[in-house]
Formats: sequence, C-alpha cells, structure tokens
Amino acid sequence: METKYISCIECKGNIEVPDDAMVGELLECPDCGKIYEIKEVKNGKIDYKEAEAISEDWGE
Amino acid sequence: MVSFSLVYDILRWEEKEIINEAKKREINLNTLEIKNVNFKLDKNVEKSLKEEIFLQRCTSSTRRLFSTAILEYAGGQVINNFQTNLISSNKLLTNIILLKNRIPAPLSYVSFSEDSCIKSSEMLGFPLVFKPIVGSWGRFVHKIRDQYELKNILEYRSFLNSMYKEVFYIQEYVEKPCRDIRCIVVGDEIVATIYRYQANDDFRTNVALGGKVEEARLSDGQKEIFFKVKEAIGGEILGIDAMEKKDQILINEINSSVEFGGAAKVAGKKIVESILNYIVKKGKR
Ligand SMILES: Nc1ncnc2c1ncn2[C@@H]1O[C@H](COP(=O)(O)OP(=O)(O)OP(=O)(O)O)[C@@H](O)[C@H]1O
Ligand SMILES: [Mg+2]
Ligand SMILES: [Zn+2]
Repeated sequence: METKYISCIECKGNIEVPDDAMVGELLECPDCGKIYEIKEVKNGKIDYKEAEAISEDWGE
Repeated sequence: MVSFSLVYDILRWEEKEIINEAKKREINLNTLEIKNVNFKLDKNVEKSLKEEIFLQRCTSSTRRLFSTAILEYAGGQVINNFQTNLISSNKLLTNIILLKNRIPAPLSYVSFSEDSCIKSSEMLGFPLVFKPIVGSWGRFVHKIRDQYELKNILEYRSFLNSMYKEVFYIQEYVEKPCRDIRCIVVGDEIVATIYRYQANDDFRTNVALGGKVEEARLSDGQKEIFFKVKEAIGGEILGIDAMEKKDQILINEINSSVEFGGAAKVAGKKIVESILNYIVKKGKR
C-alpha cells in the first residue's frame, strides 16, 4: 500500500497518515507542529480538521 | 468471542494500545466515537443495550461522565461506572470520599468566595497548593508561597471562564521527595506501581509535563491503602496517585481514564494485557 499524506492547512507541509488511522486520531505537522484530528475515514479517503483545543476538563 | 466497545473522543497512545492488543486476540472491539453520536432519549433507550460492555476512555471528563450516564441507563456495563467517574473527576468529591473512609489525604480547605479563600489560607499556612477541583495534567495547579501570590492567582482566576469558579480549593503543600506514586489497579490486582519524578524544577510530577518514571516497590501497608481507595470509590480500572509525606502516604487523586504510557516504560505490556484479560473475564461471566 502506498503511504498516504494529508496537507497542512497552515504551512502546506505533508503529514503522513498511518495505515490504521482512525477517527479521533491526532496527527502533527512535521514542519510547523500544527495538530490535526481525523474526522472521517471513508473508502480510504481521509477527512481531517484542526484538532479540538484542550479544554479544562481534559485529562485522565 | 468476547465483544466490547471502546468509548472515546480523541485517540491517545493508550487507546491505540488497547485497540492493537485486541486485534491480536479473539476479541471483537467496536468503537464508539462519542463526538459523532446522537443519543435519542426516549423510553426505548432503557435496557436496549442488554449488558453490553463499554470501556470508557474519553479524554474529556464531562464527555466521560455524561456518556456513561446514558450508556448505563441504556443497560450497558461501563468500565468505569458513573459513580466512579463522578467522584474521580472531581477533586473535592474525591476528598470527601477519602475522608469518609479514613484514607489519608493532604489537608485541604474549601471555600466559596475569594475573601474566605484568603481566610482559609491563613488557617492552613504557606506554602500551599491551589488547584481547580476539575482538571488534569497539572493544569492550573499552583504552589503558592504567600498571600501576595494567592491574591495574584485569585485576580487572574476571576477573569477566567472556569467551570467551578466559585469553588476555592487549597491544600497543604506536601514536602514530598521530588516524586509521587502512581498505582494502576485492574480489577482486584495492582498491575503497576511507579514513581513519577518531577521534571526540572517544577513541583508537579505529571508525565504530561515531562516527569520521569521508575518502578516503585511498595510495602504491603502501602498496597493496602491503594486497595482501600479502590474499594471506597468502586470502579474497575483506576490510576491512583499518592504523595509521600515522611513515612506516610497521602492519596492525591484518582484517575478513571488512566494514562499508562509512563508506567508502560516500566511495566511493559502488562498493563494493556491486564486490561484486556479483565474485559474478557467480565465478558464471559
Ligand atoms: N498538595 C500538594 N503538595 C505537593 N505537591 C502537589 C500537591 N498537589 C499536587 N501536587 C503535585 O502537582 C501535580 C499535579 O497535581 P494533581 O495531580 O492534583 O493535578 P492533576 O492536574 O489532576 O494531575 P493528573 O494529570 O495527575 O490528573 C501532582 O503530580 C503532584 O506531584
Ligand atoms: Mg494527578
Ligand atoms: Zn504545517
């Protein structure tokens, strides 16, 4: 299988998507550090958005 | 074949570990991405899930708590249950349960206005620790050395939109040996005990803040305290944090969606394996 990438909205860098990527998974842009969240995986197509900001109720 | 559903909002390292471990075994793991779910609350919800098992792993404690309430109402068996999530997600409620069960905890004061908080600080003495009653990863947990610092924090806080802004929770600063103890309990077993060392010159030891880990060998007496905590709060899979004060241990908090990346550096695969063994055993009952 060929490696999948998504493109960073901020810096246009290429972000590698692992084969077993799932909804909710976080991916970090290797170039600028921006974090994305996978929104949908459908027929191998990846839909993503800017990751949700950490909120005060997050954690263990 | 045993089935269960992993309930999550974002996937942390731990959730992926659980998914990968389940793939290796005869376990049917479903996922419930809580952010994409619409729960219709009507009378058909009740008992519709027929004892299905859910492993509650949301990162947001409010998502964790309220989705658990619905899943339980629908007849699901949620690990951990609603009551455990309610208590553990709130440091004040946790403190009350610890007191009730005569389990040692840092001396704390609670008050409901800034002025009373300042009075509490005089009774408690400095340094003290100011912490939000909800939250994690060490966020807004501050060591405060004197009244000037306390007043500064209170002023900044008054401009924040925080969840329980009217509740002021302070506690004694525990002179601990640069580390605290994390104990991971799965069912009736302690599966890992580690020391978390504070990073750099921070008094907080959170792995999320860069704290280092090392295996901890606990005495039977110390283990007894952790089991007592588990009994007191209920729940099946927990991360219990404690601080050492001289030869005593004080329970600091209980985590119901325990992060075990740090502990796994010491205990390896044992933690994730124990979690899945536990679910399999529960599924067969
Ligand atoms: N009363 C105290 N005295 C000394 N150190 C403390 C005290 N309370 C907390 N700490 C330190 O600060 C860190 C964060 O505190 P606490 O665990 O209460 O907050 P948290 O944000 O819930 O962290 P966690 O990620 O463990 O859930 C702890 O790891 C502990 O080492
Ligand atoms: Mg903690
Ligand atoms: Zn980028």
